[in-house]
Amino acid sequence: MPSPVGRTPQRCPHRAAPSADRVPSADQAQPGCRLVGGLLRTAFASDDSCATDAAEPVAAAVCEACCEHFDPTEADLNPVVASVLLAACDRELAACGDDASRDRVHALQRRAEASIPVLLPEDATQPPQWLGRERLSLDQLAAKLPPLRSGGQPLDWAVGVTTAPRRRPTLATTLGSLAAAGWERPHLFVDGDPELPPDAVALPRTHRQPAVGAWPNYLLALTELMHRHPAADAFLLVQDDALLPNAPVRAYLDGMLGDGSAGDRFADRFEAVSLYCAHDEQAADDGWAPLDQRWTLGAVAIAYSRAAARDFIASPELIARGLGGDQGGQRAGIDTAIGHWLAARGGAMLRPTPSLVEHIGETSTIWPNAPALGNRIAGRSLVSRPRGS
Amino acid sequence: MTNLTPEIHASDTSSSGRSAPMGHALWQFTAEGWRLRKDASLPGAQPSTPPTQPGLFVGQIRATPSVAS
Repeated sequence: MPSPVGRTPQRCPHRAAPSADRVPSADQAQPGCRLVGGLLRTAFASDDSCATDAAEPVAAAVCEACCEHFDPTEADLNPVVASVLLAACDRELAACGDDASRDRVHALQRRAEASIPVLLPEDATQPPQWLGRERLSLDQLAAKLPPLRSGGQPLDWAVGVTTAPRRRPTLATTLGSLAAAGWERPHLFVDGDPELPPDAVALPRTHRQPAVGAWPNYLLALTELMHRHPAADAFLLVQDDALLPNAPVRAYLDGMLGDGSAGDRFADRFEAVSLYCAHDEQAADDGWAPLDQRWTLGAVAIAYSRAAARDFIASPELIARGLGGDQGGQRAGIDTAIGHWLAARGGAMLRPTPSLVEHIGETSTIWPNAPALGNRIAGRSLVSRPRGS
Repeated sequence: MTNLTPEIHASDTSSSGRSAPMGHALWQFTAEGWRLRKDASLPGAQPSTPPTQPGLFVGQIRATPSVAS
């Protein structure tokens, strides 16, 4: 199954036939990449001896791999285009290039190298393989991810989705899966000026413009959700690159988290429940379990009890976190901040193995060069599995 | 709208992917397997082992965090 937000080699705007003299006789159908060809031509423009092609010949496997990443541009290379470009630069530099073009090519090489994410030797370089989207029943969902308990009464949910501009928008996919899971009208918290899909325009939303940053948007979103829905039992905050399974997740969580008592019906022993669990934090056994270390990986979709949410939005440390003016660690690092807060309370994040949701963002809105690979994917989830497994 | 802000480095964060406090190495996939293309390890460090999985295509380049030597 292709990526839920995927493109195809046939529809790639950079695809072109290579020059006839560069087509290997063994593979006449080999496509060309105009993006790489254009970058090379620009870099070698001052040297007439370099006859670079308008389209760089590439193998079909290259196009297929490239299409699983975000759409590359001249200013924004994805890892596959960066690889092709580096190899082409090597080849052309060995054959030609005056001093001026060599300087440009070396700058281009540095930019390409910076576009390749650092991953452990065992990490996959491609997004996980997506499973089918056939509808799961409640029983089927429970069989795949055994709940800690069942039979709880329905909770009153307040649900928000935080979103910001992305190179490869995923909001429509997230909203569709959220609706299929049982939450059809979340409140959107829009930071900056992303292009909203049609389904999002009709939703209640709060627009922060100019953007305040990921962490302030998260804290303000939870604060606003609580003020709008003070009587809600559960507060679910989802980021715009979460993909939930096609299943009655809301009913499933009602059964597990609702304790049926009056007042705050979110079972007391659960304070914060992540629907997402990154590859590195998954448990040995399937099911739900508190993480026995500080939570650090992924605020993709977290449900809070009312008491926990109230404590969260009133936490002096968390409020101060966004006031330092630092565009890096203080305005991002949402998961890390949640982990510190929860540890200070003596609490632990309840997380599922396999992950209930997958992290589908090609590139974080917070960390522009951090693809959802390595420790930023679930790898094994109800919607995906590691490639090749 | 594209967010093209520079890469952010922060020591106490998890969202920046794999960190490379000791530098990194670039590997290129060839017909013979992974070949070390560039060693950008910091002093006292060396490239890790090569990627464990074959490349997706000849010419693919991967970066791995370097390890203490």
